[in-house]
Amino acid sequence: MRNPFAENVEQFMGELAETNRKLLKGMETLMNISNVDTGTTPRDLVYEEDRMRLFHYRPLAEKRCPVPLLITYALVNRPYMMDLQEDRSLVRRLLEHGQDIYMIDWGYPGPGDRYLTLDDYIRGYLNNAVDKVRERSGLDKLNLLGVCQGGTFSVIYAALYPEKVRNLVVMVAPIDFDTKDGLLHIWARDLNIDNVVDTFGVVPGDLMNFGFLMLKPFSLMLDKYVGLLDNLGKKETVENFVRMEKWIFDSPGQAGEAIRQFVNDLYKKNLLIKNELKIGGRVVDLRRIDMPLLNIFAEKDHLVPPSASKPLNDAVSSKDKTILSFRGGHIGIYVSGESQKQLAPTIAEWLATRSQLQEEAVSTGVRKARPAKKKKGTES
Amino acid sequence: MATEQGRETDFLGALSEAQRSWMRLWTDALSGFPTTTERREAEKESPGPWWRATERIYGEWAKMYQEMFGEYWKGAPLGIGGQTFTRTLGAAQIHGKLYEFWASAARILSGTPTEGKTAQETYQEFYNSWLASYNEILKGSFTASFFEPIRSPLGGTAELMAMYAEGLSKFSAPWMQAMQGLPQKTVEALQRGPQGYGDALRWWLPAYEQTWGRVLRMPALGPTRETIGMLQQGIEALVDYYSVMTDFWSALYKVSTEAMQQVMTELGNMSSKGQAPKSYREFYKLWWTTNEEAVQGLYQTPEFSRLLGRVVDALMLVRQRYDGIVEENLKSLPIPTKSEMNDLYKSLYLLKKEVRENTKRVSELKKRLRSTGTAAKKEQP
Repeated sequence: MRNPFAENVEQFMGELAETNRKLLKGMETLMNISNVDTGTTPRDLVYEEDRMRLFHYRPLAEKRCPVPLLITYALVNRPYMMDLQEDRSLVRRLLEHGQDIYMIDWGYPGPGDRYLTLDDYIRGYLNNAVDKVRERSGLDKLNLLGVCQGGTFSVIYAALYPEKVRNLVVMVAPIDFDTKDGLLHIWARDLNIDNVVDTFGVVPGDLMNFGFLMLKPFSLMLDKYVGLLDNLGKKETVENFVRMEKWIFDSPGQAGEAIRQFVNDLYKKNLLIKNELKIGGRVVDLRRIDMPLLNIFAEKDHLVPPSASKPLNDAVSSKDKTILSFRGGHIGIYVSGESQKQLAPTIAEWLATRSQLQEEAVSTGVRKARPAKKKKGTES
Repeated sequence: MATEQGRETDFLGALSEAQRSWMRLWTDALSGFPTTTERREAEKESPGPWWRATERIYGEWAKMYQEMFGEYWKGAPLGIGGQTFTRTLGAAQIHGKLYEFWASAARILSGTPTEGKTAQETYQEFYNSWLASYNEILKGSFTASFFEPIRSPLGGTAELMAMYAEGLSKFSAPWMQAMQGLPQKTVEALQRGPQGYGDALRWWLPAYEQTWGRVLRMPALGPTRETIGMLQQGIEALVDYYSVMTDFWSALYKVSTEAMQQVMTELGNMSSKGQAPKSYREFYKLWWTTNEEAVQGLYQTPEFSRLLGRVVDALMLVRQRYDGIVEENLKSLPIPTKSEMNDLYKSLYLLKKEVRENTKRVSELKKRLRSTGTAAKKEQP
């Protein structure tokens, strides 16, 4: 075996000197970071209820899609991942393509929120937010985009209130929980969530994060930071890194009763795909979803594996349903270059062609107006 | 501002001192360096002191930064920059420790095998001698900021329990002394690292259950029986938690040390083909990817899933016992307890829900009334 020192002592010392220089430069960079802004796209608060807030984004395109789009994110992380920074913002790209966007921010549950149930979130807050958007737009139906756990919520909502949803888009949403592809699905079976909820009431975000980081300990807790050492002198790279760090460790606690039902009824009993889930006493029958459906999954998603997302398209009765595969992981789907360049325009166009009112042509804001196309049972 | 300036001055002073220390370290390391020709000659003989210096230099360097900037960030306002830097330096330290391993390995593997032993045996001998230190690397990898979240929910539980345990342990001293074989097991545990510790604990637990454990489970008597009973249960829960955590760590260490064996075998194979890593970074990549893969393999097993479930359950029980003890001690104070607050939260939740539903109903009724009124007006001639 070649001895690295025998030939490369000078190289090693040079490498160390270089790292030393980078680290000092990195300190300077980090000391100058006083605030790393996230979610900077202009928006207005239009409705709030308890900790839930509904925001309306200001338009960025001249012509807007006539049907508003409501984005609902997961409870387990903060929604600004959808608008992390100007050049890594799915929200901004959708606005540029003419979408009229509303987004729900669930907030941070406090100790008093331990009794909130899935029913409170879905038939309560989400339904009220939908009604608010309907009222503001004067339309009976809106477009709904659910992300991750928010995607599961959107699917449940669309099954309960199909009359209020014109088009349904879900991104990396777990629907069929009986899969061995994702560790969360495996571990949840042996997790006594009742004990956790009874102990904490509101399950601490740190505890949830522990589970997420544990999935890939060497890459998430070691190599990521070693990689940063090489780039500590690059202000922009460090700022991007720190923004992502801020998001990763910004984990709200979980309202006890809601997470209890989510783990027991979905992860453990897999009731949603079996059409046996009950929310507020009402059975959630996925066959009631008959509106156009766009289901997007990420090929390398280690949190929500494709096998948990894909079965949705077979469970609904929609005639117009599309399944879209994204080359990347659970986070890349919001912030990667491909997401910005390809995914956002695809979603915008898919929605625009299905959101035309009274035969009126709709522009996506960047493309020329064109007549509506009626798609029948499209699968791609 | 004055404070900030003060902090800045302190920081610059610390930085200056640290740089001087660094230069001394550097000079010491470099002073033993032979020239390239001398080094090549020296390769034939036993390695010089400069080897040992270089083996440690990366680790020392990371440690210096950790201490220096760690102190600085302590005084700095909490912020994402500081947290990121701390985590990065934590990673740098593990990186440095692994570098020491790599440097030693490279030196041994590039030299001649120990007399009377094959290269593979020399390899194995070196690896075994490194196992204890390697556990340190693994501990760092898994705990850097990884287990902090699981510790934080415990809050002061461990400390509080430890305090009670310390008091009670005085009573157990004779029992501990009477335990034949404990010293030997302890030595084994120290020599064999976590695996040995796990074995020792498993050996010790039944003895504990039969003796001290029974004392803890004895019904307490007297006016403080309730409090004493709670403490006993708390300590028992803590012992159980430590026991499960030992199994958990053992599983992770076992897989990681096996992964390291795999890395060493792979290195041997690569070396024999003339494809050995050309730089430390290449070795580091081989190391962490092999480990990640091995850990993933462990994670997929139902046994690990069950073990994780047990860890969470044991942790929750400790927390519940702790909360119980805290509530018991707060009873005499004029402040609400967690249980009382929970009752209040529930009432508030139900009340809010009722108000919300009634508000909706009233609003719908108003709408209906308006539309009925409008329709009635239209019908009037």
